[in-house]
Amino acid sequence: MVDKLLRAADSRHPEDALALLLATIDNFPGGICVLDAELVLLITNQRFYELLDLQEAMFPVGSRIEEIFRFNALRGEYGPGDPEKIVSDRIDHVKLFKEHCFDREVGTGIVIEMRSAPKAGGGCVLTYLDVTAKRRAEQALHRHKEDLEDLVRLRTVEIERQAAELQRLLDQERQITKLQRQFVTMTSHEFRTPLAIIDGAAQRLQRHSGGMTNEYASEKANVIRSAAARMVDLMESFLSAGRIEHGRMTYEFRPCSLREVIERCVVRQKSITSAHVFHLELNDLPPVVIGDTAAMEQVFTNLISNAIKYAPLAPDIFIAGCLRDGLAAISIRDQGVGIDADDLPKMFQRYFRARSSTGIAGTGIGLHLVKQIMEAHSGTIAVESKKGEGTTFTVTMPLTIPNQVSSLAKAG
Amino acid sequence: MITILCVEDEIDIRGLLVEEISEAGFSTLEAGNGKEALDLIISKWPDIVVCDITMPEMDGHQLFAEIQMNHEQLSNIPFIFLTALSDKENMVTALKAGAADYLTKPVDFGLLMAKIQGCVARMESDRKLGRAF
Repeated sequence: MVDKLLRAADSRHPEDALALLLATIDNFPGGICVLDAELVLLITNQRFYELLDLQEAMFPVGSRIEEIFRFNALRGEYGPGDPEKIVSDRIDHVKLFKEHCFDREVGTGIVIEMRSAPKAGGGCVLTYLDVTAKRRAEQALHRHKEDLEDLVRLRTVEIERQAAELQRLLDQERQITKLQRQFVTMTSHEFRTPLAIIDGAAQRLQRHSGGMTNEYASEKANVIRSAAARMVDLMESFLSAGRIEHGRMTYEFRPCSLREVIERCVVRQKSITSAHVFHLELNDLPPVVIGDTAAMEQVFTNLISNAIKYAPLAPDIFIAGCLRDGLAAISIRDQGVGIDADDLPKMFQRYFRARSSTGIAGTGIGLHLVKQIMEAHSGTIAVESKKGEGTTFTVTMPLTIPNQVSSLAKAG
Repeated sequence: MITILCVEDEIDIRGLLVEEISEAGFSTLEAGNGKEALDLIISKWPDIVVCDITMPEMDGHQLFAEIQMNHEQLSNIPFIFLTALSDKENMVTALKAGAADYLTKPVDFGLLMAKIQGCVARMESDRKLGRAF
């Protein structure tokens, strides 16, 4: 070792080699402190004092490391605790002269990596490196990685949410397409049925054109007329549904007798069904309300024909009207097939048909239309039902429609 | 005498069918839905069934399937579907299941009677060939 130094110093004098070594130590960018077996400072460099924020004058070579430990303990460098205890613990640790390495943030805020390496013949070499920038960079990297992971998690959640939303919309679209297909099939069915009656009756009349009784001709004419009336109702429903759909439904709000409207609807329905009996209690209805008579006819035609249609084996249909909380309230009750509880909230959706309607013709637009009309009259519609026991639809409406009264008054 | 069961929930249509079919010299039975029809088919064993599809309680498809599946001895009775459902899907379902024919409303009674006569003719030729049921 000494030979190498002498060669490097290009000299035969040991002083020159020592000077080279000390220059190397002084210019080393880390702090160096060599201790002998008694823990006395043998060699130090300037950087050692700078990094540990110590005055060289206070702890020159020849001082004991214990004094530095005490000084640091007293100025709180090692955290809280009894300074003498801290000092003796540190001394015990250093005395082991074992290789070790740890980081410590010192009072000046810099992070120092401290290493100890045992020295041949006792004692040790302590080195101190400023690793503040490296540690900060590592921490920043770690934070960045965590931020990135958070971001990925957030994005994943968002993407999953969007995928679910897309799926929901797709399902909804499929459901609507299915309902529309069903609607087209049922619409065709709905028009073909009265057409079949008209055409069938006409064919029978043709067959008998030679000789038939007046009663026969008149009976067939009645059949044709009621089927034609049914087609007119159907067409009205479709047209109104179309107008509502395109926001082109207009109402003529005038005084209107709900009682007369309902009675007219009942008479017309009676001509279609002979199997049903209508029980009317309409005496308590207010004599007039302000409303659109034609629209009200659609409401009650729909509700009464539904009662007939969905109660094919229960002949009694109850229609009751009264004045309740200042509103005209009319309920139409049947004892028919009823509606599954979980279908009830969907009853007024366009094209929706309850499961219990299987086998019963219908397009799913009637109740939707009724609800729209009632709402245009500031009214409501509600349904109560028990599967297999029957259904009650109740409509309510104010006697006058608040924002229509003034315009009528002006017109008058 | 050949007996024809008319299954139809629309009373007016059923009335016209019964009139037309009885006038042609057949005996008729009437049912307003699939369940009533099933009872009549089991108890009265008609020769031909003219059957609507859209009906409450039990529809035409269900009635036909029920007979094919659970009443083998009645499964040879020819079914002529007469329905306002004019879509291909319903037609294919019925014909695949073994319906004798599928007619849509409004129907020409002449055509319906021809289909019924066709079924009668096939039944008679089956009988002659000893394949009677």
